[in-house]
Amino acid sequence: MNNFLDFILKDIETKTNILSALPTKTKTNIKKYNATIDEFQKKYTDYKSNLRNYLLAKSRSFEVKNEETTDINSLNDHVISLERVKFLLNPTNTYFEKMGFDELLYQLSNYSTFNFSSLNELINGFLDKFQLAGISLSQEDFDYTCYVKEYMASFLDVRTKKTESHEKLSEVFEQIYWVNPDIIEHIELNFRKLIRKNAKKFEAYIETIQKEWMAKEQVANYLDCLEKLQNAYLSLHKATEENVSDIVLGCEKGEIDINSFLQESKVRSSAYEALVPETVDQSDVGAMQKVCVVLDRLETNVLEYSKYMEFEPIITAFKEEYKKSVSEAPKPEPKKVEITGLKEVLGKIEASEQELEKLNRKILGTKNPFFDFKNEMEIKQLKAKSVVKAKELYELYAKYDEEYFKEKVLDILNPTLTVADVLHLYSSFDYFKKKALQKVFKLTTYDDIKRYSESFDLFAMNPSNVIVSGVLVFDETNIPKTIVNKYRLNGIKIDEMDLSMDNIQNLLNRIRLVLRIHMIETSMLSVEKIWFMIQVHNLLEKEQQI
Amino acid sequence: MKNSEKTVDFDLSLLSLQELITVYQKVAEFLDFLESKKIVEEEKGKESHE
Repeated sequence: MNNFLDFILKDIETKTNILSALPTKTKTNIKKYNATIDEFQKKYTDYKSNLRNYLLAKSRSFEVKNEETTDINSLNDHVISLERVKFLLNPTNTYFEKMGFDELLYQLSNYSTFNFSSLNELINGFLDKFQLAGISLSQEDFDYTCYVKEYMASFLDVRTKKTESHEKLSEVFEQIYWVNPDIIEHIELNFRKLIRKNAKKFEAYIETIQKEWMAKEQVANYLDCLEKLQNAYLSLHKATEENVSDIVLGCEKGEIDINSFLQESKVRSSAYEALVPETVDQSDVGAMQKVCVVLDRLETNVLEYSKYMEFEPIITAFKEEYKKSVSEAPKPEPKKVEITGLKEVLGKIEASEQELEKLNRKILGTKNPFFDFKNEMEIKQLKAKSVVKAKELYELYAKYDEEYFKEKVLDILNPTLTVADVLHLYSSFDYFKKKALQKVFKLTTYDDIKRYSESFDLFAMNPSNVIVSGVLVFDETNIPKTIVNKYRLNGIKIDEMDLSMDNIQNLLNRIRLVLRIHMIETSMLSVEKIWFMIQVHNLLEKEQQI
Repeated sequence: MKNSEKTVDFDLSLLSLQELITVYQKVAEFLDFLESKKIVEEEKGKESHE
């Protein structure tokens, strides 16, 4: 007895022959010809409908429910909370970074470069942070120059009244801007001075919220936090790991090509040839499980290495800048020298700010309600002097920033400094990280800088990083060779070329393919069943489009 | 039921997953073929008079 497929193949052939043999010359012929077609169509429409129902029912019988037993949202919230505690307890940076002043200052100091939409939002950002620490700034606090005084008086007025209209403020800004285009720098300088002046209050505030968060997350100290965070990451990773229903969904969306999973696929055979040791029986589930544990680790390592390659220019630039310091002087000495350097700049800043204050007092104190030509000229000259002084101070603060970061670097600089140490350093100092990213990658928009910065932080904080913890910054390490040698011991045939920028994604795809096939084959489904589900899905989708 | 159908096992569960997809595709293709083969009577009628 024929099966249905054989019958259909023969039947189609027969019916096609019948049709081709039918005459179509006369109206009667045509009528008969079309009637035959109608008859065939009726029969085949029935077949199609029955088949369609069967295919659907069969495909649905394979569906795997995505049973989410764990609450991913709460695991994610836990990770975010612990990351917050880690950020607050980070021993590398100070209240300045923990308050997020470095981030705001980066934006303010690059205001004109990146055309930020609102200067006022940035100023509000600073004022809000002061308020968090219980510091309410008033007009008297903004006296860095007469221009800051004028603008901030209007700004605070608008902020206090909470009026929506900023028209008047824009007018004031414009008036000042044409007289003194450095007004934004002056505002920045004023905030820098106020932050320094209130350092103790900020430190006390950070201490308070550190305690609050530590109690909330039951964290004893920084190291305890790192340990808890590592566990939280693992729980989240486990809960969000790809499962078979994710693979089916990926195939349906066209993100995964199920055809490459099939036994006869060349993509599959070449992946297995390279990644599964010859001695392993691929049909032995237990043996394949062991191979997949190794491949899972290889995937993690390769992903880490690909991220490392992405940010390698930052590490190289760091190496270039500090290689002399690390080779020429013993560790404690440069640190001492640089601390003096930082103090020296700070001393200069304070002295210059005092001089500027004197000038400001003269400018603001010599106002005469009556017209006095001499007096007006004098004020004009004093104002010009104050602008020059502010410019000097702006340069001094730039020098201060340089010395500040240098001090942090020299604090940890030694020949055994690892890539992980540098990643941690940069992710602890947002201002310098963004500056380095901007310079090294020649970034021209703030959106790009933010994107690179977020990606950098994700890499720097990735708990599964192992390679970067062992790679020394001031040493020539061949990472691909290290990875290849490690996995050759496991019988995996990869070479250094597989880890090159051009090939690394291909290697990752091949690893993923083997891991996914193993996952499917050890589940309730099989590659063939998923292939079938996708065929049904695609056929029905195509019909719906018609 | 015609004679040819009498010798056919219509139990679809006897087909493999690949065969099921093939048979559905063949049936759908044949339906498209039939539709394309239909002759619009008027036009053909006119032609035959000419």
